[in-house]
Amino acid sequence: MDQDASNVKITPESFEHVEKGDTQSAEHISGPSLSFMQNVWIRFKSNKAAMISAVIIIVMVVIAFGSSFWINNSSLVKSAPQYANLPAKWKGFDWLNGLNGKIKQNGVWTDAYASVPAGKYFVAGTDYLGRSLAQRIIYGTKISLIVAVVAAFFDLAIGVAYGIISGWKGGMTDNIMQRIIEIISSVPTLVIVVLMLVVLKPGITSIILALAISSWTTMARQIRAETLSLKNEEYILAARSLGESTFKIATKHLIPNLSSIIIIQTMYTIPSAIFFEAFLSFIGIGISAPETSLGVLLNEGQKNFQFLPYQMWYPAAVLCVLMIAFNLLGDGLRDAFDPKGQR
Amino acid sequence: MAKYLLKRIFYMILTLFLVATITFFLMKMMPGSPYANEAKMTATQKAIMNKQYGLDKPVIEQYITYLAGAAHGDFGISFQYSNQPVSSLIGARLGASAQLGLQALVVGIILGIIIGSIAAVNQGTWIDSTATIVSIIGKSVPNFVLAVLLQYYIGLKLGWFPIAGWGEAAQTIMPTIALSVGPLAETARFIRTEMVDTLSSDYVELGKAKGLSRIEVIRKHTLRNSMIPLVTLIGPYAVALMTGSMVIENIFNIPGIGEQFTKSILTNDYPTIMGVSMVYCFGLVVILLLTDIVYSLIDPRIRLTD
Repeated sequence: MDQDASNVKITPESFEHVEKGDTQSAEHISGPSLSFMQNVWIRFKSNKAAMISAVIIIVMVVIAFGSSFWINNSSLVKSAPQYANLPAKWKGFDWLNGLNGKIKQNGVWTDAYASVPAGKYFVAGTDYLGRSLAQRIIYGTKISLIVAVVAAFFDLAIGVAYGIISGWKGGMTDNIMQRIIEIISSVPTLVIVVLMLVVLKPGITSIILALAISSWTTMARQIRAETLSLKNEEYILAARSLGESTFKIATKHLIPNLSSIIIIQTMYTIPSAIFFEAFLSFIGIGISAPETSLGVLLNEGQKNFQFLPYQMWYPAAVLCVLMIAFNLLGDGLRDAFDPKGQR
Repeated sequence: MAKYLLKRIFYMILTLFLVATITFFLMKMMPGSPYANEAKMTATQKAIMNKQYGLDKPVIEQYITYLAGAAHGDFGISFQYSNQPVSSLIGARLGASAQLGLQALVVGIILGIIIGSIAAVNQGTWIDSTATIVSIIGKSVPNFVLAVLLQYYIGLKLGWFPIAGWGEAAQTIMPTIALSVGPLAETARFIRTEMVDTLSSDYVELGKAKGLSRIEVIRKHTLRNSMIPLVTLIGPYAVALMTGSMVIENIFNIPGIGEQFTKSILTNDYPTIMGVSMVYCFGLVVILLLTDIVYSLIDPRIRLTD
């Protein structure tokens, strides 16, 4: 340190020769290049709850729709009074109350299958007409899923088309379309659905229609907001100056970029449609007997809940699992598509 | 602000007018009449009935009469309960529904804030996970399923609260719980997200740096700021509570509007259906306007303009 700076002699020997740097290795990308969807998939896979939910939903869909070959409405409406109100019975579960065909009557477990031929058993018991509850739940789940998915699809179609047109056209058109949305969304969903159901005949089609008509505004709003910002992007400008038609720009450029919003929003629409169907059928203004859905089963089960609790518990459990799975899946997809967004 | 409010009120009136018009013509389109099943009525009797309900006049005249009536809360006479005006039918039931809805809203929001803020403060721990699970279950389990389970296990088996009915405070507890679970779950999720955001903001860091205690930072700087946007959720909550009350009031046999609505739908009591629909719409537009005003008052950053 005490050396004077002026005494330092710099000679060529002071320098050490370094080989030409390997810029190639510094710029090397070690990880594989990932597309947007691959990134989404990696993030989604790491979310255990969402993965389990996805598996549960797939299993339920496969069972509900795969069973169509064995379980249809004509076999389900056949009553068998000799088997009425039997509790669940599983082979090899004689030791477990609740699955051994016994039911609690006045505090004592009694065998409800005493008068039923040996070898005949129902895994989820039977309803008041002797129909297999397991079959009815599977069929009901199918109907509930159909209602929800079809309603969500229409909701998506109306909402996306409306949102894109409103956002793309802008100006007066946008203004009018937004005022219409404002008016519709300040009418409670319940009122729209009920009025639709009163006018149309209660049934699957009218429930789907009512749900689709009442729930597309959220989707339309989000799509419009995103379209407004996308439309100023350079690639859209490029497409326009190249003379691409508006319809082609919408389908080729806008919709792929809107896909994450569409998927997330649809995933949230499905559970609310499932809830609404169950709710309407439960109070008796939705789907009604002889058609079956989870709401119809809950309605029937509730009447006998005090004496035959299983008739309500099983459909309720299926409905709750379905709702939880769809909600978790929706959250998982939202986090996967938009990791920076709110959690 | 005044201009904005005038505009909003104009849209409110427009909305209500459109709903009234649409419901009126929808109900007119309906096949059948309220006494289609009374087979033994002679033509004269029908004419007398039509005259009593004003159904003999041209549709346009009926429409104008209806609008004029609806403007000051007169929705005609119920088909189901003869000689009972719809307005008094609804009026008698408004109290129970409003009380139930308000109780559920308050309970849900308060418990939701508590659960959400505890989860946010303990972010990443088992407390947080438990709160998340609770809110997912609360969001997913339909309130009418919960209501039936509460009624049977808490009401009948344990006998803690009356099974059904309305009048005593104890009778309101179970329906309130069942209805409040939805808002509770939503609030808890919302508050947790907001608080996690706020906890990492600069002014919270400053508060900590100044040596404020943990409790003080959370109470004064985090929770208060996280609660403001909650006001925007009151509109959606009101919608959910209206839907929920319809089935909860049926299960617990509460003389509210929801129960009346279900009954009217099942008996094709069109004047009552139209009246209840209008009351629901009116309730929602007023709530939406109020929440907007309150939001701008408590958060000066929000300006009520377009």
